[in-house]
Amino acid sequence: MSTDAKLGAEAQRAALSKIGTLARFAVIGAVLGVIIGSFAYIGGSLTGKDLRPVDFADEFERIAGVHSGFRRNHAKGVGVSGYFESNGAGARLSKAIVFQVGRVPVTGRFSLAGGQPYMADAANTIRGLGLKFSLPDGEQWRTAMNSIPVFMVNTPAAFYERLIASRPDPTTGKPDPTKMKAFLASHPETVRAMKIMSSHPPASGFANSTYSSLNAFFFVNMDGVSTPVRLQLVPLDAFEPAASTLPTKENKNYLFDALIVRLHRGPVQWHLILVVGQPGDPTNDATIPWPEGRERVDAGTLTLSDIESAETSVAQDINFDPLVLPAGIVPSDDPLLSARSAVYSQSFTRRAGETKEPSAEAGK
Amino acid sequence: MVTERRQFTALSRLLHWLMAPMVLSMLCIGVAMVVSVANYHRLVSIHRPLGISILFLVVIRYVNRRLNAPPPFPPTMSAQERRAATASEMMLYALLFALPVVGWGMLSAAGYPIVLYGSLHLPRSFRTA
Repeated sequence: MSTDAKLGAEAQRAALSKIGTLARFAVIGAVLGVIIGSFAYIGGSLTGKDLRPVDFADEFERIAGVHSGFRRNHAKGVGVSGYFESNGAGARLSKAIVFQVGRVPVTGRFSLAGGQPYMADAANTIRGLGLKFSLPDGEQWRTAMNSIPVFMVNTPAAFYERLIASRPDPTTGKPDPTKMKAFLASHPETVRAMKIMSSHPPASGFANSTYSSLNAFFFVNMDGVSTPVRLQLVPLDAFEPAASTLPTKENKNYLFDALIVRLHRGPVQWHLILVVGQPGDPTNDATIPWPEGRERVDAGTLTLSDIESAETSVAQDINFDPLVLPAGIVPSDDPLLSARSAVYSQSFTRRAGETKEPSAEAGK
Repeated sequence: MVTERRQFTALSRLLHWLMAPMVLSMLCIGVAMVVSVANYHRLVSIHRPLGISILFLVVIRYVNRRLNAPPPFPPTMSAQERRAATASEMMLYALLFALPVVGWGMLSAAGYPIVLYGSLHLPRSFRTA
């Protein structure tokens, strides 16, 4: 650089000072302010009214306590593995490879609803079955199904309100019945759903329970035709009503113990039923059953044969996020789906960063 | 005598203006998706392929940066300002590369399929267990 150029530069620098410099700093400051402001706005720290995924996880922790390394809901469970054998009947509804004739490996997890990993098994506790189908092209299909015909609520906000209403009172240690009463008074859909649930009494065990996706999905076939579908797993084991006796201290894992005994006797199987919705059937309301007589396509058989030890179980590290879907299945407009995905992710993030407490699962 | 380049090359400018809105959108989506219940899935479905596109573009951008040097600093910049500008450019490249790789790694560690679009997937960057 020549001396002249240097002098010129010095002159320009001098000219910039005072008002010019201030103006430039003001512009830079304004840009920064807009960016920080929009982040704060998007992050909700300025609005702060909408429910966030952390609110759900926090509330589960408030109710059940923090159990290091466990899921915030469906904390008690056991991993299983097996396979799904498709008969090809589902292929006309969905182009997903899982519905072409053939077999795909499945990892699953039986669980009980609730955030307590050490609680005693009880017949009336909702049973869950999470499944991960591993498709040959690297795709996955995950689902988390429950042993109830419909869900108790139809929006994430109602789910949260119901959680709050079931929070144990600090003095009695039990939920305040007046709060649940007030919740039910403002949620007739929950009252209707509970009536339907009580007309489907629980089966005697995990192996002969029917599990339902509760939420609807859209199945998209090769021709691009989209069909609303709800899923059901119907057991091959015969239904037997649950015994009404309460578990004692000695058999607090009686449901899981019975499942282990059953699996030692041989594989347990379910038909995967695709319940085909008709125009007008609600896809956004998990509290409402679809009318009787809807077409039921038996897409194949799920076989679960191996129970995994709690320590080495792969299922422990799987987030059974119902929106991990292969091409050919897309989410419906049910608002619970995105919420489940968001809250499960929050639960997964929390437990992934924790050291796991000694195992509470059955078989210990 | 070689005349000094006065402007960034057309490719550099294209990459810059392509990536700037992508990165800003990515930041906003990232902030929004962790607090949103209703739009979580929709946002995550954009977040993943967008992040991978940024990773893909930053590799091209880095190669382009090595091949086409930017124009020299304006003579009015002090030595200190030049150091700050160079350091922030290097940091920006490092972050543009590191953040998508971290995201890819997180999905891989959790065993999620890394869906780009439909059945188009990325392989897991590493395997746990």
